[in-house]
Amino acid sequence: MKHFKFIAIMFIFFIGLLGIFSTTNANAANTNDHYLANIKKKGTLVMGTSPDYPPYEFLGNKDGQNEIEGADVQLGQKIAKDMGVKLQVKSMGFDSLLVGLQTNKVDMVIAGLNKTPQRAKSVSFSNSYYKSGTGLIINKDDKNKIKDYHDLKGKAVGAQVGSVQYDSVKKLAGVSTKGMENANDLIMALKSNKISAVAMDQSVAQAYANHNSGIVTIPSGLHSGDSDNNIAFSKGANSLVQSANKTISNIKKGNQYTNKFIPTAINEMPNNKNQSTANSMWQYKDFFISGIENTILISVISVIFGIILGVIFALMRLSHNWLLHVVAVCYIEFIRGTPQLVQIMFVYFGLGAIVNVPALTAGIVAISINSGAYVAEIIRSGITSISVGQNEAALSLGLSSKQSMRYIVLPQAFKNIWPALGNELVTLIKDSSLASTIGVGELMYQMRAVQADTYKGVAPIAIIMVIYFIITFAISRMMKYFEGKFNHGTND
Amino acid sequence: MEPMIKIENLTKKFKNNVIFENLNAEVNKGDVISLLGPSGAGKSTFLRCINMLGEPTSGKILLNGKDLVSSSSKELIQLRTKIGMVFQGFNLFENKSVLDNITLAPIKVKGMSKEAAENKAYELLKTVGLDSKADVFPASLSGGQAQRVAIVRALAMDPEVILFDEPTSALDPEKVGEVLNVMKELANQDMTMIIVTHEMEFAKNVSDQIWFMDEGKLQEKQTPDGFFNHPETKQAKRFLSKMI
Repeated sequence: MKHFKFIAIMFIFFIGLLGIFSTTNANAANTNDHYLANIKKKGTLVMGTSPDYPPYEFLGNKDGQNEIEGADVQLGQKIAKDMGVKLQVKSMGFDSLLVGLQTNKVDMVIAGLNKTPQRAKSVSFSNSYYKSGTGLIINKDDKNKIKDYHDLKGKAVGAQVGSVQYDSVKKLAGVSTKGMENANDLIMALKSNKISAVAMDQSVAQAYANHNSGIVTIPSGLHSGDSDNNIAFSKGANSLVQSANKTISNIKKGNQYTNKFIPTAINEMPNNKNQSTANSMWQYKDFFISGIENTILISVISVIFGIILGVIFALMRLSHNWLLHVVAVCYIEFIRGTPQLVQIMFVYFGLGAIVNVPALTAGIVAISINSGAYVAEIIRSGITSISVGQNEAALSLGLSSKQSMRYIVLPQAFKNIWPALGNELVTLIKDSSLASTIGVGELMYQMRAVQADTYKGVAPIAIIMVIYFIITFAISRMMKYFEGKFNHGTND
Repeated sequence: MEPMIKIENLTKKFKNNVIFENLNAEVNKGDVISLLGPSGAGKSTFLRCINMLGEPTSGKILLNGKDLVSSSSKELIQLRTKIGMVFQGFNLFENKSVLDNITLAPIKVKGMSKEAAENKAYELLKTVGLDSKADVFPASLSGGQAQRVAIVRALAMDPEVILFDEPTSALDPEKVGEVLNVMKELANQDMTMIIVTHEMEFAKNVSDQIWFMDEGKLQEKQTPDGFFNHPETKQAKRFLSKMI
């Protein structure tokens, strides 16, 4: 009987999850064409992009502030202006962009995006605003060995996951494709000879080659990847597509994208090729500081909620009420059985389709919920480690079960599980880096920004590694200190 | 006179296993009762039912006419404040100092002021010779000291009756005396007590009544003199023959 109930609950739980997805899709299909009117009413057009793709989009450093700039942003501004609204630019991982569109996180995506039949199934594309070719970045030493894509046979070639270049490299016989999420990682892999070449958009390749010594760019000769860059809108948002097409045809008249937007963007790009690494990193100290602030903010709030949730679910799991027990077991097992990265994306995109939450909030919610499950198990083990006699003595004196839990059992349990909680806290701080995937400006994200800006791959990694270590080491020292305090009170 | 505690048809079963069945007994104010019997007879289980730490399967436990078994959890808390309990393993709160162990319930349950509760605790500690230990934690007490503190903790609530669950069984032999002396002193002050014990001398000299439990029944309820010198049932005879 008990098992049956358990399975039933699990089943209902999953149906609920599926329900969330189906409503998401229904939203996208139904709201047929009030798109343009809605945006005019809102007064802002939200553009999604992945700012690691200079000169199309990148994070500029304006008076110590992160600002997304680039040729695509200028295009976005023009489109917004023609609609008579303001442009707001939202940053996300490249892979998350189209999901963001489907879940109404953004109104349009301009991200050097190419139109493919698969993508066209789930989003609507504008006309092409720019024709890009595929370039190859190779190490200078290989200049004589690799002339175009024919020379890549038997070699490993990197490309950004989800990009058109990735697909065209994948189709080449005898070439092993290494997909990575981030362009900077590809360059680093190239420099450390993990891969022999990187295939990416020609203008982007040129920008990277200009800012990195030791690498050069060549035309790939691969034309399967030649494609038009298009703007993506929600499926069926024809009014927006039409409005954008008007702007695009105006721009095309003077070939403005190539002649004006790209040169302006290249001008805006920070040029610090000649600076020492230390110097250029110091210039970006504000990035790191704001990263630290956000990392600590996420961690502190998540720890507090994690412990609150942990106590609640531990008590529920230990409860004699089978419903509370089953709910707690489902929560704990489900959260512990799914990757935190997936949970973060689910909260932001999945639940975000119902209630619109900012990325930072979504990140904190997901991390708190995740931490709650682990803390619940730690606390449960702490509670069961306290002898029943302690509780019985409290009850015999007339304390209620609640008072006994609060004054007698939990304080002792917390003392016993203190080291385990310390571990959990350190893990949580490190795992907060996962929030960078949904565009939360914590340390990991800022590192990406600095990498993209400075074209320095390793130094920012080393810096945040040290920062993470300083934070976590300080935390574990602090936990030790309090542990000592506990023991001072109670030990012989 | 209406008895303070009246136990009616009390039965305890674990699934199909009968621990005891249809126990009936009465306790008058000021009575000192020793509950004897072979180990495994269900004495402790019976005792723990009296303050509902263990729930009986059926029957009634009346304290001043009020039934504990059928009372709500709120009423039960109220009734428990009148029934003190001393455990075999002391069960002092390990996260609290001796003083806080004693004052916790008076402050949180009875709403006593901290000052009044502490004054009372010091006074009671003095009577058992442990006022110097007020600020130490239970881990640093000897077994005898811990049990004396546990008795004081129960006394601090001004209970009408105190249940003792083998209070000296976990003590080193040389520490047994100091705890029994405290209990003897309580008996002299007319505290009502029910004591599960294996200390035959103590039972003989201090109790007003012996309850002998075996095979799930209260086989005999007798004066100490009657029980030790003229046991009626064969179970009691067998028990006593083994004890000597």
